[in-house]
Amino acid sequence: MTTDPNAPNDVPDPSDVKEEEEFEERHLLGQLFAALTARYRNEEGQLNIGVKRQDLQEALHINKTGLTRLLDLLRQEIAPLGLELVEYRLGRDTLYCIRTLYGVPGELSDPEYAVLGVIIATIERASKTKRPRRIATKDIETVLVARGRLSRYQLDRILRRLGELGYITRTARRITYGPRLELEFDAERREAIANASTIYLAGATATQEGDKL
Amino acid sequence: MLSNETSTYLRAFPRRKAWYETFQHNYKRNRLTPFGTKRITITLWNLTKKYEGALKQKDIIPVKEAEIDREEVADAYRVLETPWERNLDGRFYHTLATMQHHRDSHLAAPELAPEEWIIHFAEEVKRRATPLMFLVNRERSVPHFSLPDTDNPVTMSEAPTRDDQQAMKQHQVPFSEVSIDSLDTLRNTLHKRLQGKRFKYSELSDHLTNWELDLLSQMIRDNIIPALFDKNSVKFLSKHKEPSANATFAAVAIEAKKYAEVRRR
Repeated sequence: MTTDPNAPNDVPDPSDVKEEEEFEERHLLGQLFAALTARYRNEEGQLNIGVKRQDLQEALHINKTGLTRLLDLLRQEIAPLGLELVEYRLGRDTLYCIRTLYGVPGELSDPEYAVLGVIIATIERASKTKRPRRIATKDIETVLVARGRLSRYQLDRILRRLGELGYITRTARRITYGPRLELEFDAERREAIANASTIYLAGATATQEGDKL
Repeated sequence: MLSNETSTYLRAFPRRKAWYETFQHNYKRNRLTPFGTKRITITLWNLTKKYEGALKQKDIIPVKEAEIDREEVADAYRVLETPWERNLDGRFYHTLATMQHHRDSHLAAPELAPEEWIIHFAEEVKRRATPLMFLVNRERSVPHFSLPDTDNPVTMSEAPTRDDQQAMKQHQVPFSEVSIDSLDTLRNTLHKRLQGKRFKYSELSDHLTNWELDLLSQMIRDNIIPALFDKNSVKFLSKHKEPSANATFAAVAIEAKKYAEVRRR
């Protein structure tokens, strides 16, 4: 008995199924990428960058291993674009977000970057044993306001914006690293900035030592 | 020399008393023979003040001059004995070292204008950043995964459409563009037209245009044109008559039917 090649075939072709699965997976990766490049403010007013792991698991209905596999896939896909997937912890939660691999100008303006540089340099120079590493707002004012580089009002606005964007966390008189700053500038880069800034902040050291007398 | 209390205290500790007396003796002797140290102390004092003043003014004293000053008082430690003089010596060397530091840092840091400083320093920071990536450059108040699905979108039927907003914009009354004099004449003509007459609320919008209604409501509020409100009608009184007592507060909303531009001058 010969089989008719034109007869309707109920059983789907295995290659078709595979293609469909792949298509779905790519679709899912696209959605995941869009989700990870978002930010929102939680109930406490804290800026959350990316998505929590728990939220991702609930939305995708997969377990931890499945999610890890999916994220690995995404990591491979975006690597040629110069992007990388970052996992970080904020409080009790693990979050995922995407950052660039190479040095690119971000969303801050020049004065904001300069203030950020001063903050990084001053904190890096402070003692490394004390945690959390923080500095007084006054120290930054001596470099920026007292030397006529920014007005007090400008500095205040910039600090507020940096706080809103998650770069720093401020208390009444002190400044600490925010989660975003540690993501965007890792320890090596921060140290490099601190080293490079010695020329720019040079004048300040002499006066500070003079003040201590 | 010793106060009464100190002497009673020291009487209990003879060894300490002996030490104290020796100290007193030495101290006195040093103070009474200042001939060797007087000149050098004065020099030290002047130089210290010179460097402290320069540091305060952020002036730089060149290396050559600083070296001459240092040599002048280099041997002072041999003759200085009292604590005050020794402190002064230390103070001078401290200011000298601070000046050295200050000079070096000024040589290292070129004098940049504040704006340039910010740009250059920002460049240093910027090129070391690996920024996070965001598709939308503004944060949401609601996380995107808890937004409603796209299948059942929110209805917007009650919100003003774009056409409505444009129509409202067209018929806005820009009183700010009207000069104060012309506004007075507009008020007077309106007052002449209305005084002593009674209108029904529904009729009022037939007689007056949109900006006239606006102006009228302002005039009633400021009591320029006193009015009596009934259930269905309003009566405008003449300017000099005060409205009778027990004036009730009333709010009437009238929608304009005629639209016109305000006459400007």
